[in-house]
Amino acid sequence: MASASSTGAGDYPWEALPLHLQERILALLPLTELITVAAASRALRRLIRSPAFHTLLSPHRLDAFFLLSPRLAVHPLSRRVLPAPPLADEGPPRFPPLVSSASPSILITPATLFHLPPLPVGSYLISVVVPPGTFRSSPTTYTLVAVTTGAAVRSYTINTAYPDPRWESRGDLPLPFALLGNAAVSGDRSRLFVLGRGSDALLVFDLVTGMWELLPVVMPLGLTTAHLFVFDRRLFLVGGVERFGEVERVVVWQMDDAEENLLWKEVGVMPAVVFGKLVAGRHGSFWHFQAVDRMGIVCLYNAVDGRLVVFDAANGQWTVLPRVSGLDAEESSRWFGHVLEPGIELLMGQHCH
Amino acid sequence: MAAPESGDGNNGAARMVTLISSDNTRFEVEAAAASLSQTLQLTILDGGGGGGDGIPLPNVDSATLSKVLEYCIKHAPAAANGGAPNATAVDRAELERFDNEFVNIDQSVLYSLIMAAHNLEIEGLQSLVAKKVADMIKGKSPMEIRRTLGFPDPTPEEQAEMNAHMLEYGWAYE
Repeated sequence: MASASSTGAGDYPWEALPLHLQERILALLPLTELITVAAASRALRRLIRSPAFHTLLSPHRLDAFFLLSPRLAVHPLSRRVLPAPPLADEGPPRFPPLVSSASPSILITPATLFHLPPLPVGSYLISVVVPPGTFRSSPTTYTLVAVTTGAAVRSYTINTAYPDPRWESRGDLPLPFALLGNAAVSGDRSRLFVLGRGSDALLVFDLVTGMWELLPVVMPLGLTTAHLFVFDRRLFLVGGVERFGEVERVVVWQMDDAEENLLWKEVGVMPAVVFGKLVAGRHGSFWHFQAVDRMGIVCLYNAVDGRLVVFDAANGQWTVLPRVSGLDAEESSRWFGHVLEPGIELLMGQHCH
Repeated sequence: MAAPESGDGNNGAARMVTLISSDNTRFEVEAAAASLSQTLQLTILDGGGGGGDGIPLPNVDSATLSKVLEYCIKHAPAAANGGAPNATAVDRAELERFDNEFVNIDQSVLYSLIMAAHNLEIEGLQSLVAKKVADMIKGKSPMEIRRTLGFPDPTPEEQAEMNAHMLEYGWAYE
């Protein structure tokens, strides 16, 4: 590669930095950004494709692609809707995923379940949990959590790390719930925080012991389309607040356990202008949004009107994204809720199609 | 801010040490600030750098060392508190403001700084500069990245490779 001179980076050019310092700097960038860096020069491409560099990489919060369809996704880094990145060895899944994991991402589709023993009768999946520290290769083992709800919650798990994986019956919770909502995985992957719906409640499922616990916290009044997420070791809840059957505002709460009693502390309210964009003039009529999160970035989606809003728990900022058009609302709402993260193989130039 | 040594120096309670840059400029600085450098810490603990002696730093010129010490002096109190777990929000905000302004400098100075921080093993400074350089690269096109990093205009062959790469990853550029 040529040395710096004419374009004025000064007398201490980039190329004079030792390779390990160049690597340290570039390892701070999201994978999707590194693709552009790799295009800039041969030397940068060589560095970015080297196994030594890959050992420095860790999941980046701006690398998530929030799916809107098999082929389109919201990309928080560029704040646009982009084509979803190709998966390692296959094209986009043919059917909407049933559940997907927190980082690193894995999508569980009906095709995935085909290779496993059938789900326990009447149960549905609420989560897939991957072991921590598996970023550099696509996770090959995971734990699925399924439940039945009604008069009581019954739970089942299957761990694909076992040679002959089977569904195991885990703990029961003798409380009636119509449905369990989304499940947020704790940072150490040992617990699931789960929303109970039908009567709103916050449940905890211990993945090690298989025991359930109902947390003694009063859920916000009028809560609708709620979504739990974990960021920076803290538990958050985002949802609409209804009054007289109409969603009035969207609020973010954080679990406050500093005092003796647990409580949901309001930490953010969607500004009225942003709320107006998300609602798209549907005040007073039935509508709802969906939510998905990845590493503290929450994407809220009104599939009917193609409206997208992003909330960043790191700085409390709300951002309205350009309107999405041309998607089938019903189909899109089934894809939304799942996140793809490109793997390191994306940097290797294997996707030449 | 550290200044080149001008006199007998140490007349306060804090222990002072002298650092000598590659161009023979002497800097007198509190030992606590210089000890942010893992490289210097052991020498200082062994009693080095005091009195008429100085610690020579043959890989760091005076302009860079002056800048490094500006960082160390600002961060030393927080480091002395074990990363300042008890620091107030105001203290943290002040350090953040300082850091943001500190790296708002010419790119070649940034590279000199990260080299010095690496040689002197000042982890916080390495991270700060690395993040600044990464931020300068972020959000740019391949050609803009070349200009940011000071590469000359691409040869026709390099341009063809850039185009081929962008074509391969077309989805990322749409």
